[in-house]
Amino acid sequence: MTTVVSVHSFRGGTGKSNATANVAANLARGGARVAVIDTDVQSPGIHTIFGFDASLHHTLDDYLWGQADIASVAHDVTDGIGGTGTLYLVPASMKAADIARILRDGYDVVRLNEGFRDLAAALDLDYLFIDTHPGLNEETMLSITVSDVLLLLLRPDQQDFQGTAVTVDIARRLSVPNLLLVLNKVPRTLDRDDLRQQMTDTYGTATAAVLPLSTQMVVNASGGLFSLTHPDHPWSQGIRSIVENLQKSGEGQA
Amino acid sequence: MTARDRRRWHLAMRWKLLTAFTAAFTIVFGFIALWVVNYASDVALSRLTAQLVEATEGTARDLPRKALREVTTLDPNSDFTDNAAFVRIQDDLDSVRATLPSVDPYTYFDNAGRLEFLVGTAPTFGQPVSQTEPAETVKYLEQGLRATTFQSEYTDAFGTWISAYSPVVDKAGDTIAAVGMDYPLDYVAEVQRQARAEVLPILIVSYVFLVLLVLTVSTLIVRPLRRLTAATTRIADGEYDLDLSRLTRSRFPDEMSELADSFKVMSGKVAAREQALSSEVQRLQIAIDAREREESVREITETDFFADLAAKADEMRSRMHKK
Repeated sequence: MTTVVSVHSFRGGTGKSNATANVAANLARGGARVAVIDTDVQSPGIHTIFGFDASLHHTLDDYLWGQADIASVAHDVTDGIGGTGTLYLVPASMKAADIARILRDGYDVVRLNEGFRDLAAALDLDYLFIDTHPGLNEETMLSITVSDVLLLLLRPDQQDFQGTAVTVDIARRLSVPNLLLVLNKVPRTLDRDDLRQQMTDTYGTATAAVLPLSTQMVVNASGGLFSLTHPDHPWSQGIRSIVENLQKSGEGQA
Repeated sequence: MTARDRRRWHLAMRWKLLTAFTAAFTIVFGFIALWVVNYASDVALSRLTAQLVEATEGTARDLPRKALREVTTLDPNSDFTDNAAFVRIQDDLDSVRATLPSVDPYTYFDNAGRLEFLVGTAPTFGQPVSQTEPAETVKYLEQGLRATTFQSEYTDAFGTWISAYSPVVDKAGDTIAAVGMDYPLDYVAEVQRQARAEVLPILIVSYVFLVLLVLTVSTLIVRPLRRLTAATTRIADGEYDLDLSRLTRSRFPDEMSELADSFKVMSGKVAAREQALSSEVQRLQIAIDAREREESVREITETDFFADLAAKADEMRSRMHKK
């Protein structure tokens, strides 16, 4: 049984792609079969973390145009992660022409949904991560709907708090079984325990992790999986607590 | 005011101390030196005065009356130098000079209202005193015929002097003449010169000693201050782990080591406070606009797309897991 995890945020810049890649890598390292689909076809980004560049062939776009099978655009990125699991990445195309075509013509969301299901089946996945475009639109709501877990990332600012409140309400209306909140880029000076409590009070759900804002992370940018190269860093510890939360919700489902 | 401006007026503490101490020392020692020199000359002068007065009185007492009376009758134009009385008086005055070499003794008398010199060192026999002496001195000479008189330091064409005068009185109480003695004050000047000569090297040695002392003391004071200043600069740069042991670990603790101690305590507390401050958490209040939240949610949920999605949600999710 595949646990489908949508990773979403109300606004961009929450560190969504980075968190997704790191959580997925940690699950794979722990022995799970994991895939990440970058459905942010308008502004893809997660591929750079796995060392891909714009010249990448076989992307989600190819599948969406009906030019390829979903399993054939999944790239095995297990190398260097360690452990016994497997990690796949279905990247979105970085080519300007492909992005322009998506923006102009849109894409078949039903086919995307079918893609999720086919990929989960074809690769016998334990976890399927859907890295979504920020903000609520029809595509993202569809992803949220088919998910077992909605992983919502936000930064500690009022706009994110407000937007996340709306997203949480929508997710509840769509009866998403599991909702995990991750507060990312929290400055050292902010009282984390207090924030965690306020979030619980505000959203009526526990926060999976409060990740610190780290200059080391900024320097690292999207170059590699930080939680694997810096396992003792507080940010990496936060990633592992998200992993534990996901593993628990997976067990609950099974 | 910038650091550069401050530096313009910067005068090292040791130079300030040196200036202050030298000024104070100069004033104090100047007074002392002046006093010493004056005291020495005063003592010398008063001793001389006593000697002079005593010698004058003694001579007036011992001079033979008969010979002196005879001398007053001698004609100045005669060959009086062979006169036995004259010789007798001159011998007596010479014997005074033998004991007091600098003293110039002489005799004079009132010749019917006019004072005239009698026997003396100078060849002034029979000369009226007013011819060579200033009016001031003449007054003293007149007084000297009545009682022993002392004329303190005065200056005439020949130099600076002190003088004493004493009358020679016969048994009947009549004044025959008077003895005068002049003493040149070169000796007192000499005494002052010697005293100054004694004092000057002491002064110079004291000055050298004072400068060395002030420099040594100021170095002792300034060195720990400089260390503390350097430490302050480093603390300003956030370097709190300072080694002030050379200042605090003193065999004889004083104010400076106390300052260093409290300085160390202070830097420790500052470090701790900075640590605490940097780790002190701020509170961020999550403020959700409930109305806006409801409105946003309604905008989405009112759409047909959402209604359709919500209706099919469970089915869609379960379909995901069907192989």
